[in-house]
Amino acid sequence: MAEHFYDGQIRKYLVQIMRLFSNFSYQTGDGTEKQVPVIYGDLTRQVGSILRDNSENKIPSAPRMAVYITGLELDRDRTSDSSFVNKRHVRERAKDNNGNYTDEQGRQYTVERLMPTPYKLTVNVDIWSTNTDMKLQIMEQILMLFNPSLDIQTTDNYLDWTSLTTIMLESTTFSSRSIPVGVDSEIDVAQMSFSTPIYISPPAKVKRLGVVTNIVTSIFDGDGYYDFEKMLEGTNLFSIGGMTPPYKINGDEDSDKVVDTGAKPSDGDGILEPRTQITRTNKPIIKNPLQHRILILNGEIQLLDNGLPSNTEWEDYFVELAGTYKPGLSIMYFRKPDISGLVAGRITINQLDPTKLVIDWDRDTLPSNDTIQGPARDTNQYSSVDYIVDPLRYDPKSDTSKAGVRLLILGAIGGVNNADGADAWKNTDNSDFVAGANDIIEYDGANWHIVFDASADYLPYNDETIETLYTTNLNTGVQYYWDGEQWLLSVDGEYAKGDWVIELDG
Amino acid sequence: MCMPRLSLYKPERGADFKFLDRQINEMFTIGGTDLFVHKYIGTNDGTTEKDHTQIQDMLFLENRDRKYDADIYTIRGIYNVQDIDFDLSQFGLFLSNDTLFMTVHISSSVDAIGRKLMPGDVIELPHLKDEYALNDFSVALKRFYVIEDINRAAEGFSPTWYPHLYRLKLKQIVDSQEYKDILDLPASEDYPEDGTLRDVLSTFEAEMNVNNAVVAEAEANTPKSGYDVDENFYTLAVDETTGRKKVQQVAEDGSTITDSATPTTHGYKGLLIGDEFAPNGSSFASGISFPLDSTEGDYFLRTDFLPQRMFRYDGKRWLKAHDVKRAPMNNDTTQTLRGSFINDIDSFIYDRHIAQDFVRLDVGDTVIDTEIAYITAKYIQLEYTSDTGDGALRLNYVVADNAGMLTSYDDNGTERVRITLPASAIKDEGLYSLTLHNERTQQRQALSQVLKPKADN
Repeated sequence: MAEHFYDGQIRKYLVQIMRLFSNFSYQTGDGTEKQVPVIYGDLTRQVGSILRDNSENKIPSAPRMAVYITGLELDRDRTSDSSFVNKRHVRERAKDNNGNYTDEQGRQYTVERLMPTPYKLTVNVDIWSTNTDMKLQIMEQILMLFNPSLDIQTTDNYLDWTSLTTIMLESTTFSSRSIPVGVDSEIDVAQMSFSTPIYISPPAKVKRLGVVTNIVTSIFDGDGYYDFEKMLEGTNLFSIGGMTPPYKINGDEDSDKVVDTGAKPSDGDGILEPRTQITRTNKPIIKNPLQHRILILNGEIQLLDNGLPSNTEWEDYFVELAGTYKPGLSIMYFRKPDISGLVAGRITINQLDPTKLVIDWDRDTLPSNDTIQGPARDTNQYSSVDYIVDPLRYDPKSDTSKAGVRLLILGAIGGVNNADGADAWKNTDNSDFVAGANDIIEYDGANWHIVFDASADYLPYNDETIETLYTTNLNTGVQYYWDGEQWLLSVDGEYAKGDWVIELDG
Repeated sequence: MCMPRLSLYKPERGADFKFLDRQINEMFTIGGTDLFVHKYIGTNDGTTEKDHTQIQDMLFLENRDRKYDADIYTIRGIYNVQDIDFDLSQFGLFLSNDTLFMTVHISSSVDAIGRKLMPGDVIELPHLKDEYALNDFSVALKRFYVIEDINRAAEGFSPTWYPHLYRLKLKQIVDSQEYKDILDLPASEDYPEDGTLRDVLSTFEAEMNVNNAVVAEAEANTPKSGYDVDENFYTLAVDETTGRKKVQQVAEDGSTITDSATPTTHGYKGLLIGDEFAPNGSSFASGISFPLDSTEGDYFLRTDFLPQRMFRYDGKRWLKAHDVKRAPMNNDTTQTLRGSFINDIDSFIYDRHIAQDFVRLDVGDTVIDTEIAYITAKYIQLEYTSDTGDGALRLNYVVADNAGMLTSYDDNGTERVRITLPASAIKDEGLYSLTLHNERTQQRQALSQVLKPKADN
């Protein structure tokens, strides 16, 4: 079964056919020109009454033309491979904020069109006239157009491959009256029969045209070699991009093991033998500007060149990309191996240093925080800390220290070997509190407790050992990430090519 | 002595006939209904007037451009009222049994009209006025019939064997050329501003509204022939040295987009592609000759080509970018075969001029006092001499359509021609050639009339 779809395709053909016969006119003896109205011939009685003002005294106007469908048949001679899919790649012009087209490139699309079904549509055009001269005036204007046929077009959409068709005059009946006229002179109708080959199309599939940023060669055979044959199966990448020169394992110079150097793709015999093939790495198939490594540090993004921050200004870089840079609206996406999904933020070029982009993270895309249970904290706030403090500079007796407050400490508090611990951090019962650097501690109103022991990667209240940990500092809204050794900003770091992409149009 | 032979029939129409005829006429007065007769008086095809005994078209044997008497005659008639049904079998509603057979009194109708009723006479039945039609008119809709046949009625023969009645076969009229003279009459004598009978009676307006709505839908679907790739599609610029496509060409300093980055062509293939736009919405100029100060990458639309052609300057030559193959589908005069052969009704050739003068005009000038001695002319042509060549700026006026355009002024006792132009006519300052003509030839001509010797006509 199919979901509802209707595009009014036959209606569009009929509308164009009626338009074709519109605007013809005839001239009376005094030089007055009068247009001949064209209406659809199969009207309902109710509409017919409305056209006549619901009165039998209304008089019909003559001449007049009526168009109506007389047949719609499958045209078997024109049927083609019904599974054929044709693709078109088009680029839109970009639009400005007012919705007007600019002279720059906008989005790119791929439109896939499935083979339409051919039909033959036949229509009759009846011309009612009240005298022969009138009939000849109208017919002369029409008949000269069909030499031998006339093109009609249902839409001017470049992507509609069925919109253009022809209309052919199949036959003409000059008069509906019998000659000679008998006792009753009936109305005189000239009839022209037309046929037009049409197509009825299924919906097209519209896709955003993506840019290949990286080919992940993660398919290996049992010997640990890249299974190129498998990887390239069904693709034409081999002939487009080619391969780098063969990599010599242990100085093996036997290049015969390589079936195709890839230097001249058309020279190879096209037979791949994975077992005898030596690993080669793919080189970029297309010229793509997103081939750099980037560095994110403290909410700023910089391109890396040879591992070091480069002097390339982002504005120059954006010229290479499709779309138009929009400050605060253009989006950058990142992929981190330890989280699913993409991290995204809106970017703005730093006016003080154009080599840096300032990114405003979309918090919904950041990785979710881990739950760290504790003795007194509200269960809704298990995934956050209140402050990050240096225990030597923070006064635990201050008003900040309320039941449930949670701190990430940058340094150690006391030590297990100390005879007398830090006075300021003593509990209410005067017992010593000892914690290590990078621990997360919590106050229950009387005593301090460790809720994350960084030295052991252990969550005491969860009774769980972890490898990584995400939590957010509620004081600044910044998310941090424990990598087993240190706390890092959760999304900071270097990103390789293919792990990031920019969408300038937002 | 013998009695005369009894016979109601007499060779002459005697007193019996007259007695019966008066009684029958009285019966029509008592029991009949009024008929308003629009009397057919002949035809007028614009050149020849013919009376009601003549035939307008001797080939097709039809009288199309009928004329009717301005006076309306009243007679009486009797008929059986019938039920009628609408018939939708062709072109919408027709009355299926709208044929009436009516009898009228012979002698009184001939007395009233001045001749025997004949096919083509139109009869209005005032008793069939419809006051409740589905419209907002202030007048009731009248009912008109045209006589198709007229014969002596079988029931109209009296014992004298002489006929007293005509039997009329009537059909409802249609809004056509034949009855134009009647339907041009005002719908209401008291309120002529309410429009003509055609306005209130004919379905023409309603049908044209339907037709226009269909055309509007078609226009929305396909405003122009061919395919639109210029308005919303982007064409990649093509590097002429490598032949590879690129989005934009950036200068070596990394900042400026050079002119040569404009595409050399569309980038899209198909039938009827090409509009009067440059690729990617780039700016362009147009005219009938190339500009002299062009830089690489400029576009120029030559409007004198058929079809119009868009060129791109490559630094040395103007190369064709595309032809403007798309054209509006309405009745306009575009640079297409249809536009120039069929629809162009406004192009004329002005042959011999009867007077000529050169005048120097400023922008906005309206009054031109020429040195031509006063003369009347049918046509005025004003040509901007600085813009020479085919397609030069020419202003053409028909004197008959522009009252007060051609007048005279007193030049020290000599009467000379003064031309008064519309306010916005002169848009360029310079020297103009003003010519007066009495003849012109339309460019669009029927093949049978082309270059037909006028002297033989």
